[in-house]
Amino acid sequence: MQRIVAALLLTASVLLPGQLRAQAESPEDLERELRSMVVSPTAADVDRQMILDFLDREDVRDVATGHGVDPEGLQDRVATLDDESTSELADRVRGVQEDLAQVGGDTFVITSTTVIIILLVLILILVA
Amino acid sequence: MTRSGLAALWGLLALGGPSSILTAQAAPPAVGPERVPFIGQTPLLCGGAAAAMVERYWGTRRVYGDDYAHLVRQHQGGIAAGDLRDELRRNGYDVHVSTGDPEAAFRMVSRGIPPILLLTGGEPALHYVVLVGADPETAWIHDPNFGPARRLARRDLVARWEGSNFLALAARPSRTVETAGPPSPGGVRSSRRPTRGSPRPPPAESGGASPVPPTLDSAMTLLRSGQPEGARRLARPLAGDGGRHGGLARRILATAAYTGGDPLEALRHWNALSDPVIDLVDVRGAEDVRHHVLAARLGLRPRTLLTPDALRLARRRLQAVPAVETSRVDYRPLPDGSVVVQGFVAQRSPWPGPADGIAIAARAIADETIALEAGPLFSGGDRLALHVGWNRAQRRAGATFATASEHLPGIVGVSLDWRRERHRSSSDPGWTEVEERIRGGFQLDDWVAETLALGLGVGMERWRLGLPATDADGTSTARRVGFATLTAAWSPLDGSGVRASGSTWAGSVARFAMATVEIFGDAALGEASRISATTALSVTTSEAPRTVWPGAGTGELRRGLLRGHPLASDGAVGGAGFGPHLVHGTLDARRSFFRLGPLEAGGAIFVDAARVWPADRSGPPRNLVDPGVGLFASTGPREIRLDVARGDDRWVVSARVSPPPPG
Repeated sequence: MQRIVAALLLTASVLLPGQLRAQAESPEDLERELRSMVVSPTAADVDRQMILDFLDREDVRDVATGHGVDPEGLQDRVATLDDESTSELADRVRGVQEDLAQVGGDTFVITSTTVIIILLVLILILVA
Repeated sequence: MTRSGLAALWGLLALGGPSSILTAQAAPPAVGPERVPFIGQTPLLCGGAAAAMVERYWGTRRVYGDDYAHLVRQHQGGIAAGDLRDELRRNGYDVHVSTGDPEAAFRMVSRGIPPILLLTGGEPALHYVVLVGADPETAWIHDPNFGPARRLARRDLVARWEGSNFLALAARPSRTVETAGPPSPGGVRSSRRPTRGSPRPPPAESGGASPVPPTLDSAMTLLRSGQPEGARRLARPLAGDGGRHGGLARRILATAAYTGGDPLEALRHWNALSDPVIDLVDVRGAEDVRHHVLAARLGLRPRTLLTPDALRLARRRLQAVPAVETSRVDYRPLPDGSVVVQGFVAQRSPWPGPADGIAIAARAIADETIALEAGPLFSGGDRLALHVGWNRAQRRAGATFATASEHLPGIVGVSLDWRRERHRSSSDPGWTEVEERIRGGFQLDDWVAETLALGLGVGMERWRLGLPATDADGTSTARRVGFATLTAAWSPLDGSGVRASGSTWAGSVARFAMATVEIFGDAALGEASRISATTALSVTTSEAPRTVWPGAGTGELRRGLLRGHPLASDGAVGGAGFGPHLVHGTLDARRSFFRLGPLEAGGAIFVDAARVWPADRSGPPRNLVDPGVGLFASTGPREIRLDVARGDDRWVVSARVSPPPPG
């Protein structure tokens, strides 16, 4: 009996909101909504843009060119990574940024240039 | 009024007067190359392509350079600036034409308006481009005749622009239609700008609101809450139904697949509804390769249906362009249901870099060969490969030029190769016999399906030694033969598949042939280990000279491996793994000990095996098995390998560098 009640509740939880919305939305509305969903950037797009934005920062470009790294070439390589590799790279970049954000205090100060170099090296290692 | 005040007023007037003054407070971001769609031109339509790019920047869809074809004045070789201005105005834009002040155009870019510039002094003489980015030293232009995001020094741009007295057209939507605002930085633009034409009829049953089945509405609920898999389960049973609800179910399946990270599956569902139509093909990243070439390689045309097979094939074809190191081809849905196909390319370095230098030096030591690559040299995605080898058993020199072309199918290669081989005499092992030939050839290769590549090669060879000096009638003749080669490669997965090739030579002094079938596979065993296997069968006809015989050895003279039995000794080819017919195979298991990005090093164990048939069936075939161990260091596709293999009665140390030079 408990299983039947649970199944009914589960079914209702899925179907009931649909029943209520059906009165308000037509197929045309739903098709429009579906189109808007795929227009939004995917998670991989967001990850890729995060890395590209980092590489596009003026201070990052200055550091990169100062160390013989072509920032445009690096951006091109990031753009060719598949979604899985992009997400992996983005996670690592975020992780390094978070780790570095926790470092500091009186005994050890990391300059922004050092942070940029570390992240550039990380990206270079992963995409070169 | 100060100079800067005048400039600001000029800039505002350029936007179209008071209406723009009101909207200028929004302070749109600077343009940036990535925010302006690129459209390549057709003959005489650089102006049309430039205008279409600007229109698309502001959100208009399905506009192409050809839409401006009626403005072309054949005798003037293009479109007059006044005609372009008037047409843009008719299309709903405020257009300001400026002359004499290059800085005004740079200021517009910083305010989010990409101006059209008329350049001179290049090829063609008068040429429209779109200024899409600028900093104090550098400018970026979309050149309809070459490609997107071309970077050049700002002073060089000004020099090329001076001849037209810095003619620039700045267009932005007029107030009556200006509801979309400037495009968003992410490249996803509003659909509220007008759309030209309509690639397909409006959806059927568009009139009246019919109730949505509860199952589909529930699927929508799951989709909204980020559960695409659940939405797919609910919508799938209804996708086969005809009519509106079946179509809606298909769209839910497609959307769930796309948002769930499976764009190819999404295409399959959209295709059932005759969607999506390609709006634009845009390839970025190849600074020295013409966009026309890369777009042609993709084989995807605007206004046609994008299918999963076509997308997969486009990926293969773009990656096959010689100047392309890595690439990605995907698509981005647009609000109107069409898609932009986006290609991204990381171009090979035109000249050898430090890592190449290490590989070149290592090959020179290990293989007695220098192999160099350079390119692109001519903007066609081309690559030039040169090699010279000085092994006493095989001296060789050659060059191969491979390129893509917008006018030719596939990748076209032209090669010239000279080779001189010394072979141990079969009748008297103490003697050597020399064969020498030079060949020129033409090769065409292409992916014809997602998993199938075909190639055709033709050419001529001139043999100085190795072929008979007289023909069948006993007449002395030039030892020339023509050859033709057919290749086919079936590769369902990267690194695995079957390759087959057949070559035939024909001339007055000789006719012979060779065929090879190779099966290869590669699989990961955990994160640090891989196993690969290769086996190949090669046969030649009885008339074939030994220079075309197959062989298996340490890898420097023939690609087959039998590392305990070198192919050459005492300056002559003739090892145990050399014969007119050969089957060989290699099983190789490797493990990485060290990995840092593309740099990888580790160890391997392997077994090479071969079965060799002697010439003229002078004896039984010989079976050979060589186990061994090795060390490797690799960076990307380049690998240096050091092996020790057990031969008949000794250990053999060998080294080689991959990939081998062409030929």
